[in-house]
Amino acid sequence: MHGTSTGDHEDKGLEMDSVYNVVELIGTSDESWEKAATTAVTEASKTLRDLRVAEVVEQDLVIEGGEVAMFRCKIRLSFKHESADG
Amino acid sequence: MAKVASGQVHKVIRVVATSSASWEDAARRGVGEAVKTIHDLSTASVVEADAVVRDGELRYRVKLEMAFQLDRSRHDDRSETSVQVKRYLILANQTLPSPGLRELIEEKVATGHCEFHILVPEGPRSSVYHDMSGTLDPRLNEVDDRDRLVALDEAEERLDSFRASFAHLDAPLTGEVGVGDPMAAVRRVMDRSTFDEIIVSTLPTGISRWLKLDLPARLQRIFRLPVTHLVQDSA
Repeated sequence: MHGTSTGDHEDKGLEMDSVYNVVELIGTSDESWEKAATTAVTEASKTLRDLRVAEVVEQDLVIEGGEVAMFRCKIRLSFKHESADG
Repeated sequence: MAKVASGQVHKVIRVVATSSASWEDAARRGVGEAVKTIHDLSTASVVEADAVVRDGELRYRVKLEMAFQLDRSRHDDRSETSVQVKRYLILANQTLPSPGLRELIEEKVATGHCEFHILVPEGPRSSVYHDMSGTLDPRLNEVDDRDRLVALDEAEERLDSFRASFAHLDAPLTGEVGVGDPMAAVRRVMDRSTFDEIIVSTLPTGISRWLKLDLPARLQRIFRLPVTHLVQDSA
């Protein structure tokens, strides 16, 4: 799941030659996809620093007893890579 | 995220649903529609989510993809084995409460695992045109609309009481009232489900509108499924 990317995440204003980590997370909520995505980001922010962009890559839902039981949101999250030699 | 076990054949259906409230609400509607005919749905993936403007208002639209097992083998918790389930589509309207259909269903249940979906087509009535002059009469149209709403309510009621009377039965029995002519209503159900046999319950020849349309033979020809035709008196 952990990969490094120097792709789309380099905007103007960011320093040159930076590296970002990308992780994928799945958040769930019984209310909405927005809540599901927020849950995933909130959880990730507890352990990861310098979160940049969260991109929704997949949305689905779980059906139980003929009704929507859970909304799921898969997000791709990028954060600044901290190199070992600082 | 939705995973499908290997070695099984699945049918995938796509449902587009809209809502003026949210994508979640639209998704709930789409799922609500799909579960009318399919019991073993567990997940639905969003293929597309967009919004359309209709009459100056934003409407949220989702396209959902759902997969279900085509081979109809189900896991039976009691015996811990896999069983084959036969699915029947039942077409009936006025003859729904008559005893013949009830007997047939009980007979099928006795022979093995079955699932039934009852379709009550409530077709448009063609009295929009004035009988004598053949011109469009708006007053007649109004009356016709009211009649249709009453007819729809009656169809829903018939369906509800029929399903309630089978509550004790050890077989899933779903149902819906389909608007439109019977062929179109069946086609819509077929698009989102699969069946092994169609049961058509009609009034006797001469009275039945469906027999004038040659419905049993046409269903067999178009959907290539065995069709059982049951002639009954209106209860």
